[in-house]
Amino acid sequence: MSASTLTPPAGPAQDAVLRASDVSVSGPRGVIVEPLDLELAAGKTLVIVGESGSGKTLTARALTGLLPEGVHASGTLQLGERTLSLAGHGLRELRGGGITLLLQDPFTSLSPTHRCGQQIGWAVGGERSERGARVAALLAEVGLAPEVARKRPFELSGGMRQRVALAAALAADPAVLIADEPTTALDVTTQREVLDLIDSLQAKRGMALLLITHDLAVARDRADEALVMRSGRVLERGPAARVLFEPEHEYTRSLLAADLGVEAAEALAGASRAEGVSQPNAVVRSTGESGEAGDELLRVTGLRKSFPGQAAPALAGVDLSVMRGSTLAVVGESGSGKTTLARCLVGLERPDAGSIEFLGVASGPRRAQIVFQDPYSALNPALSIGAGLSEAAAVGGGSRSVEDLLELVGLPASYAPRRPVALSGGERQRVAIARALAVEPELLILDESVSALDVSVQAQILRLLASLQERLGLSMLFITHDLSVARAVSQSVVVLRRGKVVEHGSTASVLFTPQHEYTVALLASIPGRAAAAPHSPAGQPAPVPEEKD
Amino acid sequence: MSTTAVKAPGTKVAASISWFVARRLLATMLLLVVLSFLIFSLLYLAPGDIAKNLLGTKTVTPEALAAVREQYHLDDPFLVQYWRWLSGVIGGDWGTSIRSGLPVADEIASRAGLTVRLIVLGFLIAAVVSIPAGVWAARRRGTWVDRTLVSGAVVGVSAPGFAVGLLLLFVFAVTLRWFPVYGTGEGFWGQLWHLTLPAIALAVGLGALVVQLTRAAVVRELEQDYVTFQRSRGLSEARVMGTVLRNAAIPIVTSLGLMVTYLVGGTILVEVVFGLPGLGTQLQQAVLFKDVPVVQALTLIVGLVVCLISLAVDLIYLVIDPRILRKAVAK
Repeated sequence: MSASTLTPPAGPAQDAVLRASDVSVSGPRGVIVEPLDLELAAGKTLVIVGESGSGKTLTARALTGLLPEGVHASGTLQLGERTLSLAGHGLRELRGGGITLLLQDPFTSLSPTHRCGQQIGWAVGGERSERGARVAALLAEVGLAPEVARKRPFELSGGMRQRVALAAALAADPAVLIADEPTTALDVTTQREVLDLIDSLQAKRGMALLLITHDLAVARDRADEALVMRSGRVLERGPAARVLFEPEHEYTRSLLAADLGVEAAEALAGASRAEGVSQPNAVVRSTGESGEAGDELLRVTGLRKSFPGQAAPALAGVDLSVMRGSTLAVVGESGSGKTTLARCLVGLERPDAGSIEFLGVASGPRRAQIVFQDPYSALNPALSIGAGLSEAAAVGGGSRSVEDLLELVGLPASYAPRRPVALSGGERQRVAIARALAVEPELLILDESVSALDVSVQAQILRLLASLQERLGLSMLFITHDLSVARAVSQSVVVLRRGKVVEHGSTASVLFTPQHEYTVALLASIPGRAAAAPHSPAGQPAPVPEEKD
Repeated sequence: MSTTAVKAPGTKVAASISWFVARRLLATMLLLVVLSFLIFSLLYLAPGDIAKNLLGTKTVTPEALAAVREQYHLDDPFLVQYWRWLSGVIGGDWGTSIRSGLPVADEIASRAGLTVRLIVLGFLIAAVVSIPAGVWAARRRGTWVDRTLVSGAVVGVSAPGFAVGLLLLFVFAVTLRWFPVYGTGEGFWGQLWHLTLPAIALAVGLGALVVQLTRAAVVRELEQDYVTFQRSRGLSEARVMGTVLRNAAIPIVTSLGLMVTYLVGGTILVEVVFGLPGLGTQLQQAVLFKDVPVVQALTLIVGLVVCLISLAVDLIYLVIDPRILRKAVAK
């Protein structure tokens, strides 16, 4: 094998399973991913880190010949003894036993109408009975019971679906597994379980793993080698220990700085890394200095809500209160009832029992406004930004002009005539915030409002919210699954699980000295914690039983 | 073989499905009563006099007119007339046709066969041609195949059935003489030969709609992650398409259900154009003549068929989409 021309710049080539050289992707508007080389070794993990639009997913698709229509790849791929061009259709033969791509969203990567066992079995040949045994073995390998074979994906939780997808991906015994954001759509505790599972399977099978993620914390925990991409270019590459912990490139450093997950984990582990990195979570206002925050604005007592056809209530008696001018974070995983809580507060859902008291002076829509998670579907695509804002202001009787509102959220007045489609995710979320503020509400409810955004954008939006709170004296209720976000924005925290408050108190006390075992498990699952604090005293996290909500 | 590894035990599923069907049948009955009342009122209000229609070109004397009015109870108050009709139907008596004097049930039975055959043939032609065409267009999305099929479908949707019928008659019956212009034919093949052009005329508009719906459904499924994932697992293209079709079946079945109800209406125009003595021409003539018992009976039959088809579509849903079954049980 003449490896000399194919060897990537980093590291010596030892038992490389897959070598790809001059991989580039181009679309109708020109080059999207500039030529890059990759090398994967058996049992090793290469992580590609980048934000959305960096070209990391297209690179993964190029390696499997599964690019979307109108996008083409070039370059060569060497897998074992075979060398193929990325431009042709030859890659089809490599898929399955050679390379398999595991996708991000376990909710869409399985066919909704077929049973899980059937879907896994498609990649397994042989007699019916043999196939059944093989499917059961694969399910056992990913830690699922054989009964799961008879279920359909919608009967399983997100974590279980991703395990089924993993079993399906492994059915053909691939030499290389490419996992494209495999846990981004999952809760933090489930995320950790799935990543651990991938790790152990990789070790057992001696598989090469190409892990693609936007999450630096995940990358730091799992990578042997790392490659940082931005706008279709490789900025930095090398051993993970160097690239992800002591990056040379400015962009990687800024990513690291913006990554609240690592920040929080470090703070929790008590490690002080006061390097020259700018402090993105200067947004945190510690409990002590939030001076005048005094009287109660919102008091919720004994709130209950159940939905027909669901065994467990979504809210099983929630008590909480929000102080004027301060932020309360409601933390919980999916199914904890946090979104139902938000919907009850703004009147989108009628609670079965309990009371919601607004103790402020405002009435109607000026009591509370909500900003939703997905900025792409929250804005009316047919209305210009300005029209949408003035419509909202007219409904709620707000007096701020469109220019003022845009200025409040840090957007130029020239955005008013644009339509949402012309804006990035972060800009749209700013518009959604401006729309909520148009009514001049006393309480701003943010329902996972930053979780659909890239980390660096996330940090910007959190900073914006902090400055708005300071300027306008806003009170906020911030719903999030992300403890590091909660830590960055809130003065007090409520931890919700299965519709009940399991822990509440000041942010510092809950997140630094948690009392409830569920909070402890949540904290232990924060990615990046293992790498940031190898000497973590917590030991093994308490296992959180996974269940269907 | 138990398909109920789910929480719901089999009996619960069966019970909730029978309850669902019972509710739907009850609603259908109510709907039919309302429908019959509406049609009765409309015919009552429509201009024209049945008595004069019956007497036709004979010299109309006031005595003859009065006798006819007496015979058909035309002087009774509106609600009494309606009640007489309704109680008859409940007792199994559909009345006699005013125009022919024959029992309505016999009149309809003698003509229903032709219309049923026409609808079944039209449905088969539309389904057998359009679904594969829609799938083909979806797989070759953006190519000339796709563009040709889609533009053809647009033309088909916009062309009215009777115009297509006339065009087909002119080209294939008059000019080329491949098919008969008129009549119903003898024996199976003879009938098939006579019904081909009318069935095609009936199928064109609907088939075009089904091409578009099928294409849209398959395109949407092809863009799903599970398709990419299956390909990435090295599964064959045939397997991938099998999965896609199973998932695309839900909107396609809906469109087929809608199609049959549309065919029932469309058959009137087509039968008139081709001069076929089916239920469609019968309805047309009965409406012109104000032959109330026949119009009522035909309307109720059409209404019943439409309701039953939509119930059948909903039940097929339960089979092809397990998620709906689960929701139905949860309710």
